[in-house]
Amino acid sequence: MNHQLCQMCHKNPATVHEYIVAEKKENHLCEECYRKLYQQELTPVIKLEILQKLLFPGGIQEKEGRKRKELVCPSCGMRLSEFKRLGRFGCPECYSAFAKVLDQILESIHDASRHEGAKPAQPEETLSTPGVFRMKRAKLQRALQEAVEAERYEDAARLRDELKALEEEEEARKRAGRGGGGES
Amino acid sequence: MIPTLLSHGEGEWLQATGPESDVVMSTRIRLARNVQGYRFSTKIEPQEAEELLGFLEEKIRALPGRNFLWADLRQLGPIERQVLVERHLISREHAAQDGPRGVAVEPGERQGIMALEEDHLRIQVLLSGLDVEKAWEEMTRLVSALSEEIPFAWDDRYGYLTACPTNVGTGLRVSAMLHLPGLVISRQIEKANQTAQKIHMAVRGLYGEGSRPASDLFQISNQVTLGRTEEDLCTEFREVVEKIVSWERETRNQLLKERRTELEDQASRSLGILERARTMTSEEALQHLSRLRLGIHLGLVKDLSLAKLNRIFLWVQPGHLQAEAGKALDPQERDILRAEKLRELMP
Repeated sequence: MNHQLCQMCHKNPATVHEYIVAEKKENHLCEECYRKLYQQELTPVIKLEILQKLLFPGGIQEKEGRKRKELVCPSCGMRLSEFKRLGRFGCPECYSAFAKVLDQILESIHDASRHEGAKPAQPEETLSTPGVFRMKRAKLQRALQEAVEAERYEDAARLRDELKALEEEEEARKRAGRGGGGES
Repeated sequence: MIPTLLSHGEGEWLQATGPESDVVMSTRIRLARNVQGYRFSTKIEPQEAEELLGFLEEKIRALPGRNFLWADLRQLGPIERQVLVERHLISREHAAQDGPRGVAVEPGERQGIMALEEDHLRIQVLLSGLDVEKAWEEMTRLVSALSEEIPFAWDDRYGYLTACPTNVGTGLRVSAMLHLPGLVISRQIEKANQTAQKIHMAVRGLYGEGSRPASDLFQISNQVTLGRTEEDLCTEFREVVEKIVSWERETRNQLLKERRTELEDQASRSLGILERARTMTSEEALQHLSRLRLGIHLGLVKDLSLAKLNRIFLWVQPGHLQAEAGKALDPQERDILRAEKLRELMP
């Protein structure tokens, strides 16, 4: 399995493995043929499922499957094991990413897991900064990618419109020259 | 910033004008806040941190009706950073680390902000004596002014989001610096510590190693930040500290009744050493200053005010000595200069 040949040239070993979700089709190509096929440079994306099939054609899948389920923050890449080692989160969104295990951690520290104190006077997200823009954009991009992968095309179209609107809004804000600090 | 702070004098809290100043040196409230859309210190990229620091500097400098001095820590040398640590304006961690970080200080040193410490913002109000309500009132105004310009990271369930889950929710830490020589002498400090821990408060000795800090100074703070309102946390904290204060006072009076001569002797010896020594380590100075502080309260030492003593506490520390000398000094040089400074400042 590891020495599979490229399905296009049948000469070089296949080093690029992809699974096209929409077509439910696997491709095993050498880098040269990949470039020819897609007219673009190889992006280092390896679908985990394919890699597992190649590396563990037998029964190790379940073990790997469990490992794959380790909670990871989609925004900053913080892993649960890393958080446990550092005792620090990576970004505000980690709180949602690790919600499953968080309540127990908070109970052990505070004897509580819900905030009872003051709330911001300003409604959330009324103040715009370059960081807030990037955060919203990244969220929409992730949602869009998920929608495409799950073939929810109506959702994808809506998200694409939202993304465009957000980018236009940010452009307008930049032109107006107010709001954010250092533009970069 | 540093020359301004040094020439301006010392923080207002050193005036010893606040309530319960005989036992409580200062009350501090700090809030941890982070900015939406930026990663925490563990994951932030240098460029992202740079952008955020610029944003925070702009907003803090422009706060209406306030006059914060601002410094980029990368532009401060080790002695200058040490001065800020000794004035309780930045943490040791903030002083020690590299990368984009800032500090803002209001000229009376009542209010200060650390930018890009563990959290993006660590906002503090520092007052003389035990004055939790006043500190909280001042903090409320400051943080509300900041929140009009800066979108804080917030979650409906968890409240204000912080890098470490021990600070999440209110992000509130109330602490007080207590002078507890009575409880130390009568060996009750451990009991005080245990009592405090039972109600989720932490007690730490300051300025010293081991079980008995050289200065008999202790810091007490709340541990819980989530699931309670800020007002409840403040009130409970004040009640605990008030208990310790009355406990310390009772013990002092008891000691005065039973061991007056011994206490007088100790205070007088300390006075003599501080006035006459030609070289003095930091530990030794703090120990004698602590005995004098007790002596002042018990009426055994005249002609020396708490405010003056607080000033001396500050100026014999390594950063301040070196800042005044204008250069780095090795420990022996510091000990000689410390003794000189003491002879100059003592009445």
